[in-house]
Amino acid sequence: MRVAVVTAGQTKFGSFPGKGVKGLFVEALHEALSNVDKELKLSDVKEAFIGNLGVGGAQLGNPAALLVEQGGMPSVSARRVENACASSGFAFRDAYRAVKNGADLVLAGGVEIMNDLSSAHQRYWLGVSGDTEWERLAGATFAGIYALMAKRHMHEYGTPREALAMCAVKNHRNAVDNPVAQFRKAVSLDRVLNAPMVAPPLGLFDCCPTSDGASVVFLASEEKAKEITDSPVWILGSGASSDYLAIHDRQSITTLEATRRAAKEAFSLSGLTPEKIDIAEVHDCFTIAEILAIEDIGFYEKGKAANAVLDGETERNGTIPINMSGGLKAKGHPLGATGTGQIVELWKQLRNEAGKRQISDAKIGLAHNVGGSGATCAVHILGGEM
Amino acid sequence: MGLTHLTIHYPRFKLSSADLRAFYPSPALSTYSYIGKFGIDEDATTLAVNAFLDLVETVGEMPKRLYLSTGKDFNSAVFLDATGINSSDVVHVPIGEVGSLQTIWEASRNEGCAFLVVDSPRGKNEKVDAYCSAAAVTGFVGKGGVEISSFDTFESASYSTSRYGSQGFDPADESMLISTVKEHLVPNSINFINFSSLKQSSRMIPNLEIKGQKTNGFSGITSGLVSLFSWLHLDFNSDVQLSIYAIDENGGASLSLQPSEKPIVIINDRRKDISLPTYLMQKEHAGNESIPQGAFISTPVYFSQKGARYRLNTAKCKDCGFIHFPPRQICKNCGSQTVSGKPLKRYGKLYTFTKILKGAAPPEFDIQQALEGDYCVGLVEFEEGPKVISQLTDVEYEDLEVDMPMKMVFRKIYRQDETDRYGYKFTCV
Repeated sequence: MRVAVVTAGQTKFGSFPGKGVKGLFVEALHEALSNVDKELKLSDVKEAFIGNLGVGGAQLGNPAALLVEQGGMPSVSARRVENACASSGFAFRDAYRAVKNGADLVLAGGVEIMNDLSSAHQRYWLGVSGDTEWERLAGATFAGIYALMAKRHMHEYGTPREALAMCAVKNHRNAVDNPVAQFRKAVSLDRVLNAPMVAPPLGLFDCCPTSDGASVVFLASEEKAKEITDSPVWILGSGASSDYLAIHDRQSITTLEATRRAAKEAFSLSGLTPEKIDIAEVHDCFTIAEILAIEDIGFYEKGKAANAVLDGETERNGTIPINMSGGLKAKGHPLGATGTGQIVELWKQLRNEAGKRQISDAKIGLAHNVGGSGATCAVHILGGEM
Repeated sequence: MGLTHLTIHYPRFKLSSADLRAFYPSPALSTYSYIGKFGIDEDATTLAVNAFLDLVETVGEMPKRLYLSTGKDFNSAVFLDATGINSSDVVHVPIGEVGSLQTIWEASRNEGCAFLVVDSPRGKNEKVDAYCSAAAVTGFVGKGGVEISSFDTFESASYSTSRYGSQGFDPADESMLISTVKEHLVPNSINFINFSSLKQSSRMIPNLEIKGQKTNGFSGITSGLVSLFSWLHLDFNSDVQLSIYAIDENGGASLSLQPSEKPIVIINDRRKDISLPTYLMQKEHAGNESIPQGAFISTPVYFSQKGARYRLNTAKCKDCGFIHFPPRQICKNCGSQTVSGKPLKRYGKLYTFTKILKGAAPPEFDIQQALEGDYCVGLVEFEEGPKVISQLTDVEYEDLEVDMPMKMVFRKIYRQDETDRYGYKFTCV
């Protein structure tokens, strides 16, 4: 039985601390509902999976029930899914499996508010998704952890700093044409390279912003999908995996094994290979993460992504356009909302509705969502009507 | 029988002499620009642990008994946990000039034993810390080495009880000590003499005119021992006799040494430039800050892994022998259960590294960052296999390179719940 994404919507990502999680979630829900081609009745929704990391510690208990009742679905079976930055990637996977198991209409979404906190409070709860007891006690931050990976990647493969910077330049340029992106402004390579350092070799422009936002998608069985849309987007493959939280427990820190395994599962389920992918939204919380992602998914051999990026292969007109939305880097990264936010972008691209950033003839897309420094990863492959 | 192995840990701040004089308006400081280093991650406890671990490593065995002379700010429980020495093998002696000399004397009578003298400025008493050394001096007593031939006490009741008045020693006490030294002089000797008067230069003692004799002044017993044992390393000469004289509120004492055989001396003499404003800020905080908000790693959770944090204890797979650090219950390699393994040796190489820049550190490191600047973090790969993430201390980012050799040091991590949390950091070898 095939599972379809029947509609999708998201808020703008950016700084909206005053909207609150309820406000943001309901806004994303309305956006998804207004994108419905035919008719979707909320009373038909059987299950809801909502990705969220922590809303700054303010609503740690029962947030999913709170959000769906605010959205007009007080009785739906709802739960929060928490896998750090991969929360809604996993919410999406759980929703997919729920449809497979007979729930014919399911909501997957995510929401996060990060800008309502003082800087110290923000830094407190941002660092809690690694192996806190060891990594945090070393004074490491997430930028620090990715910087350690970047430094090692440079050491092992000669990856130039410019390749990292080009990921940021490209993603900023892509976001210019994305009305929901946080930063819709191009930046020059020079500016990225000369930005203040956060954790060398990563500078300010190598890091994604702190963002507020929400995203909602609906999944339906093939039968149910017909009531809702004539142009569903099919889920061709789903893969997910975990890994050691602490990078010191991993054999290699230049590969995210969770990505490799999740991608392998998704490709195997879909019967596809990396060459068949037309467009991908990958988890670029830091520029090095985009390099790791496109290697570990299998678009490039290990150590070869840097040159491909420098040669423009991941640009809009390249062989494998990466992060047409602007990615986490420029579209924004409201942790819990990011995974299903990637699905929103693919849903639009695969339905030829992505406006100025539309990749022509995009038939198959891949979404790659990572939690923490690679402790969790969900990969999904989507395809339009063929 | 004598001192065969010595280690000295002697970290110092270097202030510009103008800065130092502005702060301590004493003519004696015109030739002086070092101050004992205290700070966020070092204190008497960490100095003692690091010096003692180095001693045990050089000697190759744990001493049968340790004569330990420490000040008030010494955390004995942490010292025992971090070094692994049994508390029943430790004889505690309070710090003091006379007490410390006596400690060394007693240890020197017992082959296979060791002494450790440690003191550090508290960072609060303005008049004291210009002269106080942050130092740990430790030695092992074995066959051969530097024999300690005598320990004498003198004038026990005559000295003033105000060890540190606003101007240091009572001048009468100083005169008395000088006469004592003169009375005991032997030909061809080198004497280390205790002076703490701010009127005197610490290094040169102009009013002690002893013809044909070399004299070296010192202000506190740890800096005196540093000078004495540094001489054994740098200027060793078996034809001279060495003496060290000291007074405190308990009286006066001297120790005579016969350097018949050169000992192995490890000197860890770290110097760090510091500006006056930073120095004053550090002095104000001196690592006593409790962290109001941080990633809440609870006190029980922190201390449940004390063995790993202090001593690099491992877990070893009972089937395949795979070594895990940090310890874990199920083997990563084969899935069997693990049992406790040997502690890792303290050496490894730098696998990767970065620097956490201002404003980005987790809030529990805010104070450290404000006081000591940005800090480096790295992954270190141990000789035994495991890797670990750690803060890198006493290093400059620009000097770091992948694969360079690193050594574990014991440091204060931060303070939470009114408790100092100690653990490992790494530094370049």
